[in-house]
Amino acid sequence: MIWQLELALFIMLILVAVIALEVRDLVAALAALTAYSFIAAALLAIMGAVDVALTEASLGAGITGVLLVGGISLMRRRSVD
Amino acid sequence: MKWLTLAFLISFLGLFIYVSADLPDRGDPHAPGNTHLAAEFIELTGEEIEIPNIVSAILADFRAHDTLGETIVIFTAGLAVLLVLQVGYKRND
Amino acid sequence: MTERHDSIILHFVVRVFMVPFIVMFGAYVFIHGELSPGGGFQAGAIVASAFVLARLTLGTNHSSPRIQAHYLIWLASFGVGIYVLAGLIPMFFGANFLDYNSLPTEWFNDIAEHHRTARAMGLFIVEVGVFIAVFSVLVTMYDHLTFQHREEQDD
Repeated sequence: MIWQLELALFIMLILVAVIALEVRDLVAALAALTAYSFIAAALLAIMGAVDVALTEASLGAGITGVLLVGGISLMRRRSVD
Repeated sequence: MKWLTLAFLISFLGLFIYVSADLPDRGDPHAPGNTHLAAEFIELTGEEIEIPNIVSAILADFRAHDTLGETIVIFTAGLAVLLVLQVGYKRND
Repeated sequence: MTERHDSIILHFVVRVFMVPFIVMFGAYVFIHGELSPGGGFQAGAIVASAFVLARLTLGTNHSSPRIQAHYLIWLASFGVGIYVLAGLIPMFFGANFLDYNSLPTEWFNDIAEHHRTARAMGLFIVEVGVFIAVFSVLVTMYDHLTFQHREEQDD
């Protein structure tokens, strides 16, 4: 319940989300997305929702990254928009 | 046009911040969302299921139909990946 | 993503430390799902990430156990079938769908000499089904997403 830590994590969350949207390299966007999941897991653990935090850390920060890299390797690496 | 969108979003941000002052505290037992079913779940988990983790009890017992649907959704996702990506499948013979 | 990396340090660390630890942690999360945070869904994702790690470093064709992708989807439907059976069996005893109260679990309490309610037993059976389904679906997704690499590598 340290509110400074929560505020810092929220600011990092928003920054990482903007980075994941703006960057052109899809693998870099994927790394930012994984960092987003990890920070969200830390925030949920601070809020006391430990079950949801464990799900977010194992699925969002763990295996989604690998699966999306597998998907990116099937197509071109840079986004076109 | 871009500035109009930005002004619209900033006004909504101000509205959300204004409204969030009226929200109940996190984990408040007297908040409207926590008074109706949550107390009953906490009581019934201790009485009828006798396991310490209330979240597991809610997920797999009180809300078992939801978890069944969730498992079927994941299974369907696996089937969809299998069907879409097996297009170029050829056996080595 | 499916070729074998020729680094003995990577092989040693992955085979001796990481994969056994991750599988053991997944088993802990699964078995303690009723006592502490965790459950079938999280444990399935953790164990699947151990298998994916083995396939990333040791190569899909070299990682053991060598479970083929088209058997894994059978395993996933087996997991969903466990869940549906745990819902259907109470209906033969006159209860509703997924009403674990009428599951016949007294024989297990007699063997284990430890009292568990029928609803806790049904909850554990359901978690087993979710674990098998989530684990096998995630490994299936990885295998099919990297299938083209394996095909190019075979040529």
